[in-house]
Amino acid sequence: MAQQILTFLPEFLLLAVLPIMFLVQRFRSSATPKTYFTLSRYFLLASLVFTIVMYQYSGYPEYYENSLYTSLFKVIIYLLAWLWFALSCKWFLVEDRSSLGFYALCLVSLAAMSVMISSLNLGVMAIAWLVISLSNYFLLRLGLEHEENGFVEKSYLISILFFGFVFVAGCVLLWQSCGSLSYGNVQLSLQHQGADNLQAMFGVGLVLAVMLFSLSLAPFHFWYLDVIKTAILPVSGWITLIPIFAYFASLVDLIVNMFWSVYPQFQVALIAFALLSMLIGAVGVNGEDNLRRYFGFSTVFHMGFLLISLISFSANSVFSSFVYLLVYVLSMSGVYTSLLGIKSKGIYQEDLPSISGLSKLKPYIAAALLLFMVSLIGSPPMLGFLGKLSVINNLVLEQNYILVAAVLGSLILISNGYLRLVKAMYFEPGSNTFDRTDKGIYIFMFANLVVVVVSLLHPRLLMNDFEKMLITVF
Amino acid sequence: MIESLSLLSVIIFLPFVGMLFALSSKSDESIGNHNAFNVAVFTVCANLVLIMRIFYNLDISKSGLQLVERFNWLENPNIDIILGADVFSVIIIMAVHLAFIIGLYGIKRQPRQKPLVVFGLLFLSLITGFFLAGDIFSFYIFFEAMLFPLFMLIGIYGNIRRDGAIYRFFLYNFLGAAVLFLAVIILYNHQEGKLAISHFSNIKIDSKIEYFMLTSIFISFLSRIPIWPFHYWISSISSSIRNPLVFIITNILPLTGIYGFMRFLPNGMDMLSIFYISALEIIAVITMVFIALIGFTNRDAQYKFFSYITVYYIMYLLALLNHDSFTEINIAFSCFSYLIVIAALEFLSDYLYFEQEEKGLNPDGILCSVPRISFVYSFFILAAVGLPVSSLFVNNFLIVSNLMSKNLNIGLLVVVSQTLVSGALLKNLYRLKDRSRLNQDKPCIGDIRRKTYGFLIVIMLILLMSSFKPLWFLEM
Amino acid sequence: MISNIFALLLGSGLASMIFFRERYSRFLSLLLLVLGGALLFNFYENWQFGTSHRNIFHIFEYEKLSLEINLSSTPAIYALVFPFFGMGVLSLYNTLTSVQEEQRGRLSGLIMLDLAFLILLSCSANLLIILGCSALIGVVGLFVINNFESKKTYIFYNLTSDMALFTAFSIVYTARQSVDLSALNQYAVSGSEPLLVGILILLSIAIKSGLFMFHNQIFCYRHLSFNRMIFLNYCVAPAASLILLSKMSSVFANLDTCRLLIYGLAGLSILYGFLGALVYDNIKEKALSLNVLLWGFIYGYVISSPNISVVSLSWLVLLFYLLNWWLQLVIRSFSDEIYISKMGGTWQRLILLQLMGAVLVFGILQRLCVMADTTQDGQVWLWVLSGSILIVVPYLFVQIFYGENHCDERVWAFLQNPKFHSWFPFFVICGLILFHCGYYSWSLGVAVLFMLGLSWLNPLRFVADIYEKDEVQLAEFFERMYEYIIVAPINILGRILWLTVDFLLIERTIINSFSNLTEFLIRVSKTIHTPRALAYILMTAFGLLMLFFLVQVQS
Repeated sequence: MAQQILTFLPEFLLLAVLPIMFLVQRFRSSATPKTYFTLSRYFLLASLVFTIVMYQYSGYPEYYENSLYTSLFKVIIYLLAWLWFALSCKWFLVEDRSSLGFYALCLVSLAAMSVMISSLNLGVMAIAWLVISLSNYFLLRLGLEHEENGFVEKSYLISILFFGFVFVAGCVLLWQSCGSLSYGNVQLSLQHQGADNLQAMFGVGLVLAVMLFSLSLAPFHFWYLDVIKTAILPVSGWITLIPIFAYFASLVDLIVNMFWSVYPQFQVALIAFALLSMLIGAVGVNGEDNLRRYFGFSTVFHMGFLLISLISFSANSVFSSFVYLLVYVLSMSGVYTSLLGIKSKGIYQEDLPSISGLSKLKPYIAAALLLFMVSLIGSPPMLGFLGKLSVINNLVLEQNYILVAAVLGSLILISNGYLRLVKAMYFEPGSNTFDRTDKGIYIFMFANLVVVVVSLLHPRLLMNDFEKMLITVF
Repeated sequence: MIESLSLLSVIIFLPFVGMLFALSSKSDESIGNHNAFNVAVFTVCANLVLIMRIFYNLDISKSGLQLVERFNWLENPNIDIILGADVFSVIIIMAVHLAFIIGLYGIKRQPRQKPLVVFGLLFLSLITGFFLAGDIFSFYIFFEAMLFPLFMLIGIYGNIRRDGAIYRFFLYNFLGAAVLFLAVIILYNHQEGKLAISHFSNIKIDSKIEYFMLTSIFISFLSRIPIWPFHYWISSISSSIRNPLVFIITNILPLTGIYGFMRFLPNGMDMLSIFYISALEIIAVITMVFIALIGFTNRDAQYKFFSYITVYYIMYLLALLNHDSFTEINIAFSCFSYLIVIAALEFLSDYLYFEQEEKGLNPDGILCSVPRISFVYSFFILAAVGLPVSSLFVNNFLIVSNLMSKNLNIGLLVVVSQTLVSGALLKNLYRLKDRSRLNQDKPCIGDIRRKTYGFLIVIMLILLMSSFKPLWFLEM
Repeated sequence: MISNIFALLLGSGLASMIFFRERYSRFLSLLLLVLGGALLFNFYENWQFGTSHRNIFHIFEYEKLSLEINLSSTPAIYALVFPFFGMGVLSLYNTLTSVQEEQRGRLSGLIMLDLAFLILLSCSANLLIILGCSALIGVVGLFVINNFESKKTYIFYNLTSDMALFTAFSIVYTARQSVDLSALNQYAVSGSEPLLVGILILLSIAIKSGLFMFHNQIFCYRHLSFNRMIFLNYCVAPAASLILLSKMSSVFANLDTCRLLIYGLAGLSILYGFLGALVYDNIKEKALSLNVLLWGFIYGYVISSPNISVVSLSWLVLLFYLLNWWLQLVIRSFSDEIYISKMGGTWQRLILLQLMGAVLVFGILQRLCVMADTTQDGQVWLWVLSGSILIVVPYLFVQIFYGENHCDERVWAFLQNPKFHSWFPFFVICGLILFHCGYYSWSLGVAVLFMLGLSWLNPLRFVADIYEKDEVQLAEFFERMYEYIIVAPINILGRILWLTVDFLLIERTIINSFSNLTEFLIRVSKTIHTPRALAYILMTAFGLLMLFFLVQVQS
């Protein structure tokens, strides 16, 4: 029993900090954004330690199981959350706003992600998903200054409710046709029934649609673009960088351990979603002037790329797409760190023309952003190349040459879009003035670059152990 | 001791380290403080010394890559980075360094040197790596990576037509890099592991894959060479860039395509390769004559340079298609002088351009009042034309002879094109020397300084030495 | 040794070019003249003693190519080069004494360099060295020309000539894998493309010597001072062409087409030179026409008489050099008046000048007679040249010295015979040539009488009317012809190609298609991504339908 309870200790710790935060807010008059960050940081650290310690323990094998695979994702999520918490703290300090809501909601979301990654039951997963989505919704509500926020807030809420309903409907259909929501049982049932059971197929389709929605794959990407544009910068960064790992881990787990027998019927559809995402993402990056949406489109593209890489769901493809995801997140975290350092007259700059000539006034930020952009393009010698190499190599191994051509074509298109940012920063004369950037931003940027460089020079550090951990999902 | 230092890696990383120093240097150009420039000159000179040292370590009589260095980089996919050098690659690296240093002198009095030096040194580091790449992966990595600094240089130092130029540059080169990437991956998987470039020309693969792979590889290399329809990006950059270092770097880039052909051309030609090569020859010859004709008629001096550069690159390409080791080494010797000559000409041409812009003069007759620049400019033009003042004279003779031995018509067309572009260069020279059109009421341009003159005289001596003995420095 | 002479010529030439100072120009010129004279004497001695030396300097050896500078001397080489060396030294003298010359030191240095390269060219048996020398002689000529238009024309002709030689040698090397001169001769016998090689070499030589069709560059020299013009006509490209011909005449031995072409070009050159010498008003143009006439004769004669040594022609060339010099003295006597129509009626005041001319013409006729007696081959060419000389020279004499006086007052007032420093060396050289030749016969007397008769009767007096016709005097037919036939089509073709291929096809079609397609997609994307509830609903519905439709299709 103790062991069963201890299995949930990481999630418990993440949630345990919430009452403490409320108490602090209630009784400590001088609470600053840093106070909540400090609290979150320690509990997050503790949660991380326990996740590592109990990487193999499973309290309720029917519903929840830890493995090397789940622990890998959780550790990465916690580390990234820790990084983002630190950076967000700078934002809250500069803006002089309370960070309680942000940290509290993020911790709830983290706990839900942890559950979602380890879940072995579709019902548990649906609940965790709903918690994450609602957390995101409430996070969105933290910044309601913009005019269009009302529309975005409502449409996002309706979207998550709709897809929540879709998820539940999917669960119900699967329950009816398989008699259970446990991964193992559903898999056995689907194996037995095959693709003939339309009800089950419909259920699988609905569940997958929710996953595609969560990963902001086109055409379910609307919410993402609007949310990251409207939300405050820490929330945009959070939604871009963190939940993606949880969704990725869950999608792989779902398909490999639950829908594998009917997956061939869905493969073409997933390819279509991936290609559409890549096209819409690449075109969007070429045409968008708002920096948040610009990087939002970029995410849509990379999610498509990720799905293409993942499409065979073999050990190799999971590994290559994981590498790609990691590289993408590292680059994107660098991008968001840079965005935190670009401020003019107290306002964070969000438009492409506003950062014209950045290289002359903020050479280090511009240089860092440039390197991250090159990495996102996947051009050697930056880390992004590793991701691209990994994905294309996998597609070639599977002899998917048409997909390879589509991927390379869209890569060229999005590269053209990325170069717009480079052009604005380096080639165009600037008229804007920029505020002094916090040293902490530079330190984070530098640390991020160090990680990128080390990963580039010694990719084995990044890859070898991860590969062993990832294959435990099978 | 020197051997244990892994000289090849050192000459790749030295410019990179120089770049970091240049990046961190404080340059106040308003008071003539050229820290970044000095760092670059020091770095390139130091690298030149090391390159000479590599020459001494090379066994010139041996073929294949020597001084091989190997690093295990990735395990899944299993990729080793191999570096190696042969006479061809080291001569080219040396020429690139010399051309670079000429370009550096060309930017000495220009504002905003720092980004130029930083990206320039990065390019130098990457192109050195490219010529030393011993396996297909490192070859590809350097092949694509060098585009990034060049893109930045064109973007930062391009003129009003820059947007179009960088768009074309991007479109052609990234497309080329993408297809090479694909070919490399296919090849890698087909060969189940590490593949040294030297083994490439001997591999046997089934015709379907070969068809696809050769197409990809050929397209990627052609995208770098100013051959129809890929020539447009270089021509638009050449006519929109007025910065000697950027121009030189841009025009060194086609050499990477030529080098690629040299390394990747199949050894035993099967029907497929022969078909490709015949098609390529036809396109190359048409492009060459076509660009030579335009260069002859176009009044823009930069376009004339471009046409000259193009004709030579295409000549090298056509010669390489014959797959003859004797021709390859001739191309290396010829390239040695060729790169220096185009760098020097661009340096002088830009000097004249900025002087005439500053003083609001026509180019007609501006050389009449500046004896130093007139002398060196004339010398380099005569060297470019192929007079016996550089290795271009003998080596081009041998290259053209080789072409004629395979196909007389192609050889004759090469000579016709060379005549046209030489005529174009001479036409431009005499336009600059036309005293009758000199406006006597306007001030004259300033001559180059004694130091620069001395530097160019040294370059001229290097060229002259190369005409007598291409590897003269080995006997010093 | 010839190698020492070569080194001294090259060294002094380079040194005078590098250390040239305007202030010491005359002194430097004198110094070089003394040195040149001494070297000429040494050269002559070596020739007379019949010394032979073997001097070969290896430059490098490739796997399939060795390159060496050959400065081995034989009496034949001395004989071939001596007249040119002599003309070079005369040019040095002319440079020193010319009042028009502004850069004596520099020009003298160039003459030394030119002589050095001519020696190297004569000695070389290596095709690459021959090619290099030919190109370097061309460069010297380029530096000698100090007029922009002339320079431009000269460089294009010379470039074409050297490229033709380059191509011919490349073909030979391709076939024989050797750059030895003997490979060329072997190729001419058993090569696969001997006609092409022959035509290329012929083209190169014809351009260098300025034969008809390629005489434009020669006529551009009229813008130069007389001393430069003479030097260029006799010691630079045409001299190189004659040496090349002496080395490569065997190529044409079996090529009837080439021989026919040469006959054609030579005949037309003689005709053009003859007519030009008559109709041009400008004495410089008359001199240039006479040069075209001479070179036309030389090529026709050499090709028609394979037994004739080119060396024997060198003396004739020297005499024509002196004829040009004499014409220069005529201009100087007429206070730099260059139009022959503004001369005449001066025979009483220019006795010495007439005497110089008479001696020179006698020398020319004497040399022609010797040539006619030496061999029976090529008699036609000798008759044609002799006939031309017999008609043109009396006509010139009449125009300059006799007939009606057209001189203006200034010219008449300053009319003077050549000064001592001009006539004395002239007579010495003519005397030496006459003495060396030593040929006197009845035919020579007949020729002299014929010329005197023509001078008396002046049957060509009507030609003087043409001097007034600008369409003849100013027209540059061939320049225009080349402009229309070669340059204009190249320009038009280049322009059309640029417009159609570069601009229309690549820029407007390929590149713009990419760019337009991207812009179109961006517009569509922006339309879709407007924040409207309908867009959310439609896209969500579309996504779900797509998912299920594709699953259905797959199933």
